[in-house]
Amino acid sequence: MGNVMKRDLVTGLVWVGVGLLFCAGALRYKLIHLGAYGPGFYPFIVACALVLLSAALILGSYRSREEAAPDTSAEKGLRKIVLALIGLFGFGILLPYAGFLLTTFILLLFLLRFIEPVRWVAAVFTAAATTGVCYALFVRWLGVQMPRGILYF
Amino acid sequence: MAFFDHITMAFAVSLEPMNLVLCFVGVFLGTMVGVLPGLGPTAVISLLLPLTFTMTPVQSIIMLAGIYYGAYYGGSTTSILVNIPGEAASVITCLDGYQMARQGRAGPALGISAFGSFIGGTFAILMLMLVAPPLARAALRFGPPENAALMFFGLTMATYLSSGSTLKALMMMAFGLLLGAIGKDPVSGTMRYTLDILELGEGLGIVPVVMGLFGISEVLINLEGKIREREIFKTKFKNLLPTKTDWKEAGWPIARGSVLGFSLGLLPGGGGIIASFLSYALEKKLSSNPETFGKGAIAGVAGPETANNSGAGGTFIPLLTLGIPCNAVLAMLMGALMIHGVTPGPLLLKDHPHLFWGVVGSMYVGNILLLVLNLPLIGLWVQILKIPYRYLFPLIILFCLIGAYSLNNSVSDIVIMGIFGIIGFLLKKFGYDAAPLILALVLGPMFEEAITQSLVFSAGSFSIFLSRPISLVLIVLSFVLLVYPCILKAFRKGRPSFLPPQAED
Repeated sequence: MGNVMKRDLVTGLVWVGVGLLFCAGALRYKLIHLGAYGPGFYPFIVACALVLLSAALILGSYRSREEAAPDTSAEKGLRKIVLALIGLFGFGILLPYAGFLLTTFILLLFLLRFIEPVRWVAAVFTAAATTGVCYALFVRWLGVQMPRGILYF
Repeated sequence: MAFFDHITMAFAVSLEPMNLVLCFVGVFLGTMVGVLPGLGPTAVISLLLPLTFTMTPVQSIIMLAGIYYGAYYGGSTTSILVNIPGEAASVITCLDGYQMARQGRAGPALGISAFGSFIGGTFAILMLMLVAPPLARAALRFGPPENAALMFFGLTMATYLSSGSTLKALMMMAFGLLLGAIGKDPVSGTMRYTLDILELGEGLGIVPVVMGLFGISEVLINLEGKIREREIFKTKFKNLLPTKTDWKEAGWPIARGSVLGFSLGLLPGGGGIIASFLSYALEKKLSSNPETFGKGAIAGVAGPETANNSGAGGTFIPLLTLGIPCNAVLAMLMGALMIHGVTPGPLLLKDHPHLFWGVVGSMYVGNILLLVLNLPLIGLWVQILKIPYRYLFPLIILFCLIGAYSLNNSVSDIVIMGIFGIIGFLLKKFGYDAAPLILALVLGPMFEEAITQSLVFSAGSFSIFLSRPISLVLIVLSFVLLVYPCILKAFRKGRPSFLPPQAED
């Protein structure tokens, strides 16, 4: 079983699922409404197309004999990705409460220190300097509305 | 003569001091992100979007367009000096550009790519001036069926030209169209697929989706792999100006690259990347000594570099005259214009002539700035290249976050961006190209509206798309494009591909 075949099979199944979900949604919005095409008509057709195309991919995966390049990603890579995403979503959660300055500083410190570790001193300094520059540039100069949060600024 | 009036207007607008400054800022930042691998034009445009809210639409598009074509200039620098393409369109430049640098000819390689880019860019702008007005006039006569057929053709073309499997590209297109259906239905106002989330009522915003799919996912991909140490070629950059022999070898490739790039730029899904690959293949085929290609042939640098800039200029035609953005960066530009209440399309030229001609003029000015800027500043770009990725990626993430939040001052755009960052990462990992998805997401709502209007017109009969000549031709062409790869496949084993194998490395 080639890697490509397995991957196409799995992703194809996922796409069939996505397509069916959209199909089901479209049926709820009525395909025909008052004698004309209803709000569900267009997404229904497109979702059916997605299901059919995915089915073709799945069928094709049985015939494919290509070998995929070996997957070189290590668990270490996954750890970094998860950390980066925690930083990203954490920023969104924290921003309304902690305000722009504090949240930005924490985000930068976190990303600098825990993903591709930079020395503490360098990390703190870079995070503080970048936060200051961004604050001056975006909030003060360009007038982007950012939450102030618990700090006065 | 209308042509000269247009030129006068173009330069009157683009040479206004503020516009000139913004054009400079745009091309400067564009070159910088082009130089920095891992930081693409999408991230920078998203960062600068909040800045444009306080500008006029003309000023904002002048600056954002500068970033777009400036990035192509910058991308070649890293290809030549460190064998890392700063931009996808510069992948092919690595082959001969880096070899030239290793032979101590980094100067002429950088020089010829700057001149080639300038010539290609200029050619594209001249053609834009000639082609856009008649095209926009013709498109003005389009009714809903023609528009629907045109968008269908655009989508098909984008899948056809996308990298990788056509089937997967079609799936991405369908998925993009479905994402475009999220929000209020254009006819009845029914909320579709909003999951009762208020923010989704107006549909998925183009900008956070593009930032996620192209900005954040790029960071995730880079973090997953081993971060390559960049070894910068230590060489003195003397003799940046190409010699007479260099010009002789590069002249025709530049001329051919200009025409090829521009023509491909017109096609949705075309533009810089494909143009550069095809130009390389073409030059290798036409060369009297093809064996020098890959070993430092100057034609292999000049042709593709010209073609990608000419292609970047060409991509503005479908955007400004038909409202079809050919790639993700242009989708962002379109999003920016729409935030300002300007919808790109056939009416743009009539309703906002200042904007149209101002952008065209600024592109010319920008090209001159780039030529002047690039050669003396190469030392600075080399310094910028030395910024390690561990300092760079937190900045990219922060810029995307600020850009996403400031769109509507709402955290929901950050969440959308994050989710699409994950989706984009997975798509890349499993061999799906996200470009058709973006195009479909942008065009989806307009496509549906055009279809619905046509069907109201014809009392529900689909024959309306086949009974009008223009839409018939476009639909037949689309089906030919769709079926053609299958026929090819039947005759030849392996997937039919428009692109030569990835840089043969």
